[in-house]
Amino acid sequence: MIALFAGHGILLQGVLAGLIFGFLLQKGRVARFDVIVGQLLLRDFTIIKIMLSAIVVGSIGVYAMLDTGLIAGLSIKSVSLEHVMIGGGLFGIGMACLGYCPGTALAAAGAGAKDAWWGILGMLVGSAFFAEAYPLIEQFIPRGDARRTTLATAMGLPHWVIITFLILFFFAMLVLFAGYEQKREE
Amino acid sequence: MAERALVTVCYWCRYWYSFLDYIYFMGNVLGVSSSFLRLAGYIESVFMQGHFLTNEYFAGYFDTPLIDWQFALVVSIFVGSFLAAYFSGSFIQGLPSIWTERFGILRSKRALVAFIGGCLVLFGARFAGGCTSEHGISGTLQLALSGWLFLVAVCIGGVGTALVLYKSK
Repeated sequence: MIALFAGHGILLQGVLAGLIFGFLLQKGRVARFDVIVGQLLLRDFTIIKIMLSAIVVGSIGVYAMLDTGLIAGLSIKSVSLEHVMIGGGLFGIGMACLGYCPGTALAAAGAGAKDAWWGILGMLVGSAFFAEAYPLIEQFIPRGDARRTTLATAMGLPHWVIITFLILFFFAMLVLFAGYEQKREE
Repeated sequence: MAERALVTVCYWCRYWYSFLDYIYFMGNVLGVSSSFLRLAGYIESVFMQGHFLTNEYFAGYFDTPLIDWQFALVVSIFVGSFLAAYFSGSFIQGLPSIWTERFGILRSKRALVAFIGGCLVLFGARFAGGCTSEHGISGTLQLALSGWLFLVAVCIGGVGTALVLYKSK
């Protein structure tokens, strides 16, 4: 009824990307409950350092490719910002309970964390539950207009200005965290 | 010796997810949560076909084959992590210490909360139209407002809940 397999070439690309991603997550020791919850408890700043560095490197690359025509356009999902915030809040609550996000749960399960398996099962059930609840949600929770706004458009600034700010912000945070972690050890 | 070198390289490599740019160059978008949704839908289509067919939310998600680029990515994250753990003999043992400090060592308790957490994670992700991979990384690095707002909301929900759950009195 539902087609099962996409083309071999594209699947192989996905496999390669996933293997690298999973490998890096495990080796970087970030697919761990103590690291993720440690971040949420503001004791351990590994996660935010990694995310910021990925965002900085990724944004430079993507916008460079966009500006030089190597990619045709951005791939931003058109969503209602109100729903993004509500969903994000629920996601955060769930992440504090589970100790992983979907990606890190997969990596943690691969690395032997048994609780991640329960999380994965919960994720399947939770998504089915959302599919059930969808008509009610659409009916009762207001949905703002779906948008694809970027920070550049929203603030009226060229994207390289924002990226530069991000880079500076990243280094400032690194300094801040280093100082904070040193204080905690005392 | 070689193992130590590899761990060190990967430890610092984790800061350079420049391979993300390769993903966009090839025309793909990093995401994870929709694959869980589609798998759940597929299972439902096999065992509860009538119910599945009347669901308008699922209807929008099955124009493409189930096992697509992202599904391959999702499964491979698991495999990649497994391989990394296997070749270095560093599998995760036991329960996380932040958890046991607060809630003890009863595995069933951990399983239950992990399950509930998983439900909320994907429920929230679908509500928001994406998870930390899609909004939190993909979105933010493209400077999407949705991605940054998602992260803010996750911080509020996550930090608040973590402090309530795990902060020792």
